[in-house]
Amino acid sequence: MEFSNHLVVYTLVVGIYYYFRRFQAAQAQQLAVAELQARLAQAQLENLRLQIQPHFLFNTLNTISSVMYEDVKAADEMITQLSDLLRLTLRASQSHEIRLAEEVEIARLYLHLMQRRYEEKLRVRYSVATDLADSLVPQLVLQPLLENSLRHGMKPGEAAMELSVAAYRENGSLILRVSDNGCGFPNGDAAAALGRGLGLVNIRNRLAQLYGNEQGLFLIGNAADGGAEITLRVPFRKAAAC
Amino acid sequence: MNAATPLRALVVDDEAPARRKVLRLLRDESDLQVVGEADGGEAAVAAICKHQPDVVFLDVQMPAMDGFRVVEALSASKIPLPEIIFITAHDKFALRAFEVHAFDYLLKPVSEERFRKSLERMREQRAQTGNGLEGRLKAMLAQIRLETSFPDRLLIHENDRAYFLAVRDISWIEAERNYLLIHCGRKTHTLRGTLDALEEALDPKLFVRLNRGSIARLEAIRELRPWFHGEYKVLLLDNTELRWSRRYLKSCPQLRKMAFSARSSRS
Repeated sequence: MEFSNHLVVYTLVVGIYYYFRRFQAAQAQQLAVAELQARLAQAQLENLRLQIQPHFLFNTLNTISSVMYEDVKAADEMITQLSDLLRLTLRASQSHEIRLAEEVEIARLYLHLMQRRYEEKLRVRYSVATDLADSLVPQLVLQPLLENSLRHGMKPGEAAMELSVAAYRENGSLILRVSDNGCGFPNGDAAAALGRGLGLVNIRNRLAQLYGNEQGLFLIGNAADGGAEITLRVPFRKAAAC
Repeated sequence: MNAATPLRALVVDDEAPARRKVLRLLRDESDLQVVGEADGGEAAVAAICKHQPDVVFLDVQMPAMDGFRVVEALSASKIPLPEIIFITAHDKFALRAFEVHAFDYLLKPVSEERFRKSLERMREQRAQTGNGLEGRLKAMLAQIRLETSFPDRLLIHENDRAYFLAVRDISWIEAERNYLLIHCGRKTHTLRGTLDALEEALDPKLFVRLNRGSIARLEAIRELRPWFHGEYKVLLLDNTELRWSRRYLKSCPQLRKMAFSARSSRS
């Protein structure tokens, strides 16, 4: 009699303890999930703000509001280009990699608009082989590099800034290069440039995450003529046919 | 009353379409004459020194030398400063623009209405001070007065905000490591800085340094009680008790003028 009573009590206690622990674990997991979601939402919000780039937007709108009095058609084109740029940028940010053709189109739209702001002070050159259109590259790497060149590399005075965007295949890799003939990095110091918060660290980290340190390469430095030169290397892969 | 001489204006922006926009807006202002343009900071300083405009429309973000560095360079030179109207896509510089006494701060894309309002305000100001010799002298005197008088307000920066604190609301100020605690009745404001620096900004007719760590406003003092070693205990109206140390008593310039012995009530 005594023994079966003890057994019942014992089972009850163990049972309660077991379910209590499961309840605690479930709660902890719920909390962790909620925290993660909050952080993700925060990151997405920040990302969105970075993509919309309010200052680029305001400056471009200012240019449109000036150009429209001189050349309505050109102003109209700028409005279309700005909308396309925004649309492509938002779409690109939804995946880790996009087709090279899209990445270059984003760069082209961006540079078209910048040329309207700088007029003859900005010249652009593209060397992108057409057969590379479907190769995969990390999203939104070209535009931030071009923006850096324009923001930090412009020399004051009459001389025009020449930007060049190149993409070519080298064995099993795809090479992307952005270079300019501006001021370059001070003292050619790449490490200092990384520390300046130019978004270069972000790109380097993304490359490392996507391809590992072996396959992904990120080189920054000054070209022979003193301008900045940034080279990315990613494994050559084609987008799956849809 | 002399007829208003035209306002002389200069436009600075490294982007040509942005300059053209301002020039287009200025074309409709009949009392304004554009005397020059500049596409960069250095060019701006040179043009301003050469043409001596009354007002400069100044972009902030320009390569090599930005709008604020232009103002710095002009302040360091001998020429009278023109009125500055900053025009920029960034709203984060507004406070800094205020600190350099900019006349106005317009955001890109520039709204025609706000632009014209700004010019209207400038005309009103000039009408009040006049723009002949008398007007310029008055403006110079006002500037000198501004630079040598003591502010009746302190500009307090707190994280992202900034606000004014009337100096007459302060009871006493206490130093705490790198910070200053400004006691105003029931509120306390925290400010980074040193007591020595703040002392220079405060009118010695209103404020007195009591010891190494505190400054009190004279009118907030209720009474002083002589204490040991030639020191005084200072009782404020809000009952705070402070100590006026001997070292600072000795070096207090106002005290000699203020000290009188009252007839003892016992005689």
